[in-house]
Amino acid sequence: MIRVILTIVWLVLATKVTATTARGTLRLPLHPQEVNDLVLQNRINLFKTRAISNYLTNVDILEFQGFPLPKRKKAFMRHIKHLNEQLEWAYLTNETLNDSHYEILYEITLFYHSFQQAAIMDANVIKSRKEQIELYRTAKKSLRAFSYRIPVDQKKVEEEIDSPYWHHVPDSLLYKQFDKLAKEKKVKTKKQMIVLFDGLSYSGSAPKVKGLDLDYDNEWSLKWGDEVHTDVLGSRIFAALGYDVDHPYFYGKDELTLVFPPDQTVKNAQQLKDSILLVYDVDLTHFISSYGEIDDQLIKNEKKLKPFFGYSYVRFLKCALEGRPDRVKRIGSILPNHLSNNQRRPLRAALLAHAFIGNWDTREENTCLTTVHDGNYHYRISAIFSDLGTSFGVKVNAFPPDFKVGLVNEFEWEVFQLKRNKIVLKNSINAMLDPYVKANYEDLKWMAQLIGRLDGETLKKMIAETGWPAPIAELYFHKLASRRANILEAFAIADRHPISFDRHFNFIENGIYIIKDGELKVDYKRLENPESFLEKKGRERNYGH
Amino acid sequence: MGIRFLFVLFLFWTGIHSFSQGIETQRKYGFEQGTGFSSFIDKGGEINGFSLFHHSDLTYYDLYFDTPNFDLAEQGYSLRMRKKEDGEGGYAYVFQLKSEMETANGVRMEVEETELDFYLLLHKEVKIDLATFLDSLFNKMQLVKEKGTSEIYQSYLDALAAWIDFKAGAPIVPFQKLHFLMSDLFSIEGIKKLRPVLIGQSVRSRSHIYLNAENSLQKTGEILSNKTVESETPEFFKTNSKACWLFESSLDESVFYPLFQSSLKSVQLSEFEVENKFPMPEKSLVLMNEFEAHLKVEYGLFNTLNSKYLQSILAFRE
Repeated sequence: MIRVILTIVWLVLATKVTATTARGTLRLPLHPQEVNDLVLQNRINLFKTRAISNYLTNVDILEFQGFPLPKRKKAFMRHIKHLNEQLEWAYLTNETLNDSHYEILYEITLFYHSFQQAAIMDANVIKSRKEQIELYRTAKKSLRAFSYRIPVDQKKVEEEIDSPYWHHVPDSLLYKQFDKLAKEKKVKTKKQMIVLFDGLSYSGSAPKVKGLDLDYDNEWSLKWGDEVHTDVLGSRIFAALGYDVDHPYFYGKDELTLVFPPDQTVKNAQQLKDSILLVYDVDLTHFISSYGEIDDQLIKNEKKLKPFFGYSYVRFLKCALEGRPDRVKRIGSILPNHLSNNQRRPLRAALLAHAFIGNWDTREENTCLTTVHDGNYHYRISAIFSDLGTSFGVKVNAFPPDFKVGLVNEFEWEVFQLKRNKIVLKNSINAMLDPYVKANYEDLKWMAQLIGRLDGETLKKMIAETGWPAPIAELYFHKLASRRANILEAFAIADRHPISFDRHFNFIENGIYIIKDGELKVDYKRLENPESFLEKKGRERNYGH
Repeated sequence: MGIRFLFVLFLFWTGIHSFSQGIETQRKYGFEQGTGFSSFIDKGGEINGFSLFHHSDLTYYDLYFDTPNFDLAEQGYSLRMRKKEDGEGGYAYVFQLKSEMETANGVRMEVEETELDFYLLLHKEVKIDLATFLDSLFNKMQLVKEKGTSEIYQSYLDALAAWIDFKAGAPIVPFQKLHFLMSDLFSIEGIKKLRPVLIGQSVRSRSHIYLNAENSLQKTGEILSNKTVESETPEFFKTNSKACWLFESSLDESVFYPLFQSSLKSVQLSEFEVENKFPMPEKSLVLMNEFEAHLKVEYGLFNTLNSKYLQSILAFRE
C-alpha cells in the first residue's frame, strides 16, 4: 500500500517537474576552442573562468571595443554567480571535470560572447544606406545559394536531443507549445488589454513603443504595421517546430488601451504620433481608432481603468503586443556564427523553417540568447528566434530602400523548386548565417519531418490567432498547406496528415471576387487594414498613404 | 534621416547619463540620551505637521572587515556581512560595501551581494553555506559572555580568512568594487588581507514619515500624493491613501565588540537616520530641511557623518 502511495506521489511530482521545459545539453561532439581554453589539465582553469564571470557581473566594466555594454540585469548576474560558484567549488575540491562542469563552461562562454556581441549590435542599430543595399544584395544572392543534390542512398535522419537551441515537441502539443512557453515565462494576456506607456523604442524598423502591465511587473512591446499578423503566425509555427520564440499577440479594433501616465515624456495620442513619425517615419494616424481622456463612461465599461481617471489614452484598429516578461532576461544573439554553433542541426535546419514561413530577415540580430527564470531562483539558458514577422510574402525595394511583409500574393505556393536530382530553395533571406550555409540535405530533411507533423487543424488554429480577415486567412491556409506538401515531396516523406488545398481557390463576397484563382484581387477593407494586403509600399513609404 | 539619427542619439545619450546605480540619499543624526527622542519614535505621533508611524523593530547582526592597518576605515569605507530580520519572520543576509557620508546631505555609495546562501566555505572541515555559517557565528556571539574576545570565534575567523583568501578574485560585488575604486590598495593580494575586526548587533526602530492632506496643503500649497509604484508602497500607505510618504527613518541602538586588541570591551551607539522616499528632489529637500530643523529644536538632534563602523573603530583604536 505504501509503495502504491509513494508511486502516485512520485508520478505527481514527476509530472510537475516535466511541466517546465528542461534545459537540454549544450555539449557538442567536439568542444569549441573557447570552451577548451577554460580547462587546464582536466581541471577548471579558475583564472579564466573567473575572468569571464567577473566580466559578466562587474557593473564597472562598461565597454567592449569602445562600444557601451548593455545594462547587466540582476537576475542574469545572479545566474552567472550561481554557475561560477559551482566551478569554484569544483576547483577548490580538486574535482575532475565531468559533463555538468562542461555544461557550465559552454554556458558561460555563450553568455560572454553573446554579451559582447550585444554591445556591437546595439551600436549598429541604425543601418547605413550601404548596409541596407548589402542586405538587398544578399537576399538576391540567397535565391541561388541553397540547392541540394538528392542523395541516391537516403540515410535515416537521426533523432536530435534537446538543447537550449531546440526541444522536441510531442504531436499532441504542437499547437499548444507557444502557450506552454508563454506560461513558463509568465506572459499573461487578456482579451481586453490595458497597457501603460513606458517609453519609446528605437530598435528595428517597425514602429513600436514600450509598455507596462498594470502591476508594473512585466514589460510589453506594442507594434503597428505590416508585421502585426505575420509575427503572430511565424512565432507560433517556430514554437511548434521546437524553437523558443518571443510572444506576440494580435489585438483588433479597440481591444487594447494604451494609457499615458502623466510623468512620461509622451503624454497623449498626438505626441505618440509625432514621436513615431520622427523615429520611424510612419504616420500612426491611420492605425488609431479612438483617443481622449479616461472618463467615467470608459471606467464603467472597464473598471481597471479607474486609477487612471483623467489620463490620456489611445486605442487602435489593430496592433500586436509582444511580451517582454520579467522572467526572461535577454543577453545578445544566439551566436550562430561562433563557438562551433554551425555544427548544431537545429540551427542549420532553421533555414528550412524560415523558408516555410517565407521569412526574409534572418539576421543574427533577430536571435536572442536568454535566461528564463523557472522559479525558486532556477534559471535556464534558452535560444530564441525573434522578429519572425518579416515573412508570409515579402516585397523588397532597393531604391528607395523599403520592404513590405504579409503580402499574400508574394507568398509562393512552393518552397522548393524540384528538379530531377536536386532541390532548390526558393526563399530569399538577407543574411546567410554560417549554420544556413553549412546546412545539408539531411539537416533540411530533419526539419521537413517536423513540418510534416503539422496537420490541418493545427495550422488552422494558428492562423486563427493572427487576426487576418477571413479571406486572407483562408488563402494563407491553402498556401501553407501547399508549401508543406511541396517540402514533404522534396524529401520524399510520406504525409501522415495530408491537408487538402486549392491553388485556384476563390472567395466571393457580395458578388465580388476578393480572391480569384488563388490570388488576392481586392485591397480588402483598406480602412480597417491600413497597412494593406496588396499595397507594396512598406514602412519606409508610410504604407502608401 | 539626419534628424532621426540625431534624435535617437540624443535620447540614447540622455538614457545612459541618467542611469545611476548604488546611490542613496540619507541624513544621519546623533542625540543625547534623556531628551525623550527614543520615546517619541516609539510612540509615533506628529512633529510640526510631520507625522510619524512606527511600524517595526528589527534586529541586525553585523560582522565588519578591514585590513590589519584599517585601510578601509582610513579610506572612508566599511565592509560588512549582515544578518537582518526581514520583517516577515525570516532573515536576510548581505555582504555590503559602503562609503562614508561626505556631506550632511548624504549621498553614499553602497553595493551589496544579496545572496549568501550559495557561497560555500569549510568550517571545521565541514562544507557549509555562508548564511548558515553567519547564523552559527552570531548565535555564538549571543551565547557567550565575553563577546569581544577573538579567541572564542577563532574557528570562525579562520574559516572566513580561508574563504577570503580563495575568493579575493571571485565575482563578488564588494570585492569587485574595492578593486575598481582602489586597485593599488585592493589588488587581489590586498583583498586577501581583509579580516573580521568588529562584531555586534543593533535594534532598529523603523518609521514612516508622512504628510496628511491638510498638512501637505499647508506646507506645500498642494495635496501631495504617493509616487511610489504599488509593489514598493508599504501597507500603511495602501490603507491610508491620503498620507503621502516622504521619508523612511530608523533609530538604531547598537553595541559592537572588537575582534582585535583594544582597551575598550564594547561601544554603544545611538543613531537616527532619515532616508528620502519622495521622488521629487526639490520638494523633498525643502521638506527634509524643515523636518530636520524641528528635530533639532525639539530634541537637540545634531548632524553626524561617521558610520557606526567608523565611530566604533575610532573608539576602539584610541
